[in-house]
Amino acid sequence: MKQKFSILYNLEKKIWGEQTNPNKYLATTTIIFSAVIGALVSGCEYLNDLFNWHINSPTLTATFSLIILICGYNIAESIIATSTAKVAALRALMMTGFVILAFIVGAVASFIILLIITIIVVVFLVITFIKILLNEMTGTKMNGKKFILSDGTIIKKRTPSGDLIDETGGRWKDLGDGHVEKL
Amino acid sequence: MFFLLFIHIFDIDLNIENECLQDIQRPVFYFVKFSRIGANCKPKLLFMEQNLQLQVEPIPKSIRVRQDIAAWLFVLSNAYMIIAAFIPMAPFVNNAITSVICITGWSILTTIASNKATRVAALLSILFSIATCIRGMFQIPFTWVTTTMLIIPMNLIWIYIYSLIIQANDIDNKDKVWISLLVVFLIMNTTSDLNFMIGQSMDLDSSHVWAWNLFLVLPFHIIFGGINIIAGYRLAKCSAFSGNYNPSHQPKEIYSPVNKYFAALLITTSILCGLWVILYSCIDFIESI
Repeated sequence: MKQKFSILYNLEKKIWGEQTNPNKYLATTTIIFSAVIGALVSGCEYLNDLFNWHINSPTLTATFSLIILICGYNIAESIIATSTAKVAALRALMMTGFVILAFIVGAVASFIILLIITIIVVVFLVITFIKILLNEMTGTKMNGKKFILSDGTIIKKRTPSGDLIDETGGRWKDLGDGHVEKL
Repeated sequence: MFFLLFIHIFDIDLNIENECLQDIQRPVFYFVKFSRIGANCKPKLLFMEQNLQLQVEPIPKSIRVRQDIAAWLFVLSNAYMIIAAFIPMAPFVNNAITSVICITGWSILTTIASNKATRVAALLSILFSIATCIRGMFQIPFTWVTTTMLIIPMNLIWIYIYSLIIQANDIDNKDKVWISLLVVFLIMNTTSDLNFMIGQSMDLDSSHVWAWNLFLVLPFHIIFGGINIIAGYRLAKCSAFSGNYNPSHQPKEIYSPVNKYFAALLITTSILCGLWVILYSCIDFIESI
């Protein structure tokens, strides 16, 4: 877990070495937040467009305003934690780039995931509909329920009109009160 | 297989008791040992003579206890700030509780400050914790006047206090990182106040200025609050508050507010405010995307 939260720290230590002395976790944390914000905004927009849901989502201007604030954390840290102005500027630029990249990645990933979920749900609904349609045409299966007549005949299906069909294909009429009649 | 490589010659204050020897620059030779075993052959620094290592004086137990008490008081105050959002209590009561805990913590730290500048910083922080406590009792409206006259100056004084502590002491890098994070948070508090002010002056609806909603505010609050807890703990445990009071005068430059912490505040604030003004001026275009 510690390693995962200090990815960017390790990266910048590789590039600038002793010239920077930043916090291990702040940069990665801000980038994760940026990705989450991207995912949230794009997901809310997608659900709004598709289902006309009115989710309490932030406006696009407010989102960009927040991204600017998150860049600010990295800019301030860059100036404080580096030894030279050049490294500070480069680090600030790099972190800003990462924040924007994370925002885009989060937005795109959330859109793709929601799209996949929508496709799965739609495909499931279509398959279920077709299944019901076919059953209605050929007769409904007795789902799990066993319906055995007194002479040992096992009933397998029930047609939409209420007739019963046994294993051999013979038809029975349901008279009610547990009585059947061979058709 | 090992081989030795001479790389550096530089000076270290060796704490030699003989005063005649103090003026002589004694070179310390560093050798690098390359281990060929394994894929990660990282160089390791070795001292030529073990007795040349800087001796770190152990902190006496009485001081360590006081450090611990102050550190845990800061942890308590910061943790209370996180859970205060869920406690159905008036904001000024929460503010008073955290302020009183902080004042107690800083009072303990004042007694174990290692030099005059640090003691000044600790006393200043007690004063401004009291001021924050009193400020919390009144509901101050969020206007240009109150922000520029009251809220931002308070943040500036806190930045000054932390920068004074960092500059007046030779704090270990691991602690310095966390203490400077407190400055970063204060800078961002100041800039986010200014963000509101810009939004207000441009007659914007608050929904265009502030993106916090139910999904986002809680994780942000908890994670950044957690970072704040660690930073407060490290502040109380750093070498600035390790006793051994040094009454000698320190150079006046460390009291000057012209340092990189205020430079960071100025640069970050100007960049962010510029970006916000540009963003809010083309709001129609952005909302039409």
